[in-house]
Amino acid sequence: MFAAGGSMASSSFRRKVGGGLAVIPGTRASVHNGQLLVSTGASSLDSVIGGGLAVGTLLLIEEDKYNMYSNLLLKYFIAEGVVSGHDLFVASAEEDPSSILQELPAPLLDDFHKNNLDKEEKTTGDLQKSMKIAWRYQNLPKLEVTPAARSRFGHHYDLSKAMSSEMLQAVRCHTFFLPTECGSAICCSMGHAYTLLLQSIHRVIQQEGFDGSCPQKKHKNILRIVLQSLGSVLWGDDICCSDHPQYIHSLTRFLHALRGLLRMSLSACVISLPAHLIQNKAILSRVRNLSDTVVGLESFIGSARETNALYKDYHGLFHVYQCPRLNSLLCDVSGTKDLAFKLQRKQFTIEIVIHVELQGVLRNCLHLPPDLSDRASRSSKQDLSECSKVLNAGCAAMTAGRTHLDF
Amino acid sequence: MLEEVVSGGGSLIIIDDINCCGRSLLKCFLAAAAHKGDSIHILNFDIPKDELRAGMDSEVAERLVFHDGFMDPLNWNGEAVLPASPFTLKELRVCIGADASPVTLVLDSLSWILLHNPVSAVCHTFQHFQRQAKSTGLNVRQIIGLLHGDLHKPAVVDSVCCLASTVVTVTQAPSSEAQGTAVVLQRRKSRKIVRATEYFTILEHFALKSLGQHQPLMKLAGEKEETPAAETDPAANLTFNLRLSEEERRAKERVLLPYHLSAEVKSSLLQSHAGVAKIYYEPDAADDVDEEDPDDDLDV
Repeated sequence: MFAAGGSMASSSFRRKVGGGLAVIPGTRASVHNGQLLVSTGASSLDSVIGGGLAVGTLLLIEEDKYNMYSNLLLKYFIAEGVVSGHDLFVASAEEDPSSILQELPAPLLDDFHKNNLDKEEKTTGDLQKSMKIAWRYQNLPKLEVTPAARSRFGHHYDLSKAMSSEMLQAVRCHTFFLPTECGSAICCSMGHAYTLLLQSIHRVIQQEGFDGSCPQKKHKNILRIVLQSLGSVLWGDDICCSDHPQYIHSLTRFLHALRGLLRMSLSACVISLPAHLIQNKAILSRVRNLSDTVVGLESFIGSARETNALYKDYHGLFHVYQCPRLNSLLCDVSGTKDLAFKLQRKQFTIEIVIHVELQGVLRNCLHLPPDLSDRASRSSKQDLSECSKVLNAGCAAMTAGRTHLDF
Repeated sequence: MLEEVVSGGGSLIIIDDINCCGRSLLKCFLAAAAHKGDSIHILNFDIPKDELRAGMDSEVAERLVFHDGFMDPLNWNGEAVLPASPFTLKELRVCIGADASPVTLVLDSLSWILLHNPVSAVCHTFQHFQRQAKSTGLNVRQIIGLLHGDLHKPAVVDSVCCLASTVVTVTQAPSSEAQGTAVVLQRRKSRKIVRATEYFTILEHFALKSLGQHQPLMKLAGEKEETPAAETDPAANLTFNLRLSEEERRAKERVLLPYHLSAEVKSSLLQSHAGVAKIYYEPDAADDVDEEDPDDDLDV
């Protein structure tokens, strides 16, 4: 060491080269457990599942009844992969993966952002001239706050526009379309489709070196795996149309093997599953157990909630069924379970439901703000039971309501 | 809505049950397609072809091509026209053969096919036939299937309906003036779901007449519409004044607050005076920008 570093011998301190972990674009470490995360593309979904999807884990999305919104989440995930320069693996039995790729939402990138900022400046310009109180700031230079597109974690997308084809050409995408993979032969022998899919994923992971068998030399990259409507009849599975399917274990066996593959490689996987069609609830809970993160979409279309005033701003409920326990006994559970989603023209967002009407009811029956006398605190239990009677009408916000009684 | 569906393409499933037969609606659809210039290929399993042809005008009747699965479905007499498992991609393609004009494929009924073949195989063919036919040079504009909903488990019906772009469920009409009620569910390309309930009646030569939309679905369930509580203005009966008159507003705006400075004072304060030192700093490659760990450049 000393001989080699002759010029450096004067000092025992040495500058570290490389700087710790090689940074993979589009990833960041979790603030909770240091796990490497990738973004799902929808920032509200990221925050709900604990900052993002950990590399090596599996996110299961239980589809809504007419499959409108779950496909959207898959597209967000793929689009985020395209923008971050990740590799993709898209599998479907329903539509050609290349047609899915054609319909990705367009990212709102920096130049676009800048344009927006400029516009904002123009509109706020007049305001700034007449700035009355903080006028000392008006001559200070503007700071550049947006980091480079690739290194940033998570992007925003515009659903009303499609992603440009130049962006798509730059990405390395492996597709798996069941009818072409099987050839013209009847591919519907049970479980055969899953075997083919697993082999295909395994091949990609090995050949492209995501498992470290032939390490990626230039730069490390993430493989994003997307499997659409797994378990549906088109995958040759009969769990959707029978209580006692003939091959009850084919899906769970596949998931078990897939999870093993994911754990050993630099990849993250999102699966959508037509859970509302699965007849045997035991299978559903097994599938949930085999996944890391499980979320569900429940759209209001065709249900009584569509016209309920409580939910008039939303298109459906968003359930988080399971959070992953990664390298710990605890999982990172977000505080509230009352989540709903809405689809606007340009974006899909998940929000916490605020029961304005309900809070009104609570206030009325508790006479808030409370007078803090002894009598009031003694009678608070009674009030609570009264209150729950009022709420028995079928609102799921009891938990949200109770926190207001805690004073 | 129903008339819009008649002119549409894609895949369509008509669900009927024992109380209300959907075949006359099916005939409406194929008559409309024939008038448009499609050639209609019918796989008939439920009823003989003469019965299907009955009541059609001659223009429509000559466009119908029957693939008879009714006379000898299991090939006991050796006269079967269709092969034993007619509903695979390859067999179906061979069965239809070459056709220059756009094709409407009619399955009468899908129930028979579902009962004689594995569900997943039927779904596979139903989903992919249009795409596969296109690659072999056949333009299949529309697939129409008649499904008897009460013959299958609800799960099977749901699984199959997932694949269709339009599902029309036929039920009995509440009054005698309409022939039936149709609940239409359409998946638009713009990822939008449209649902409507309509009464319809069928005129001569299977022309469809829609009798207008039913009132919104949710009211059907017998739910009372809640009238929103009358909005009360909280600022109506106050003992003090919350509003400003025009005069008062002008007086208020005229008051000069202590931190308000005139433009001249501001500019003089903002200008840098001569003799004030300035610091110029150019970042250096060896700069340590990470504030959290100031010693990270040391390899100790």
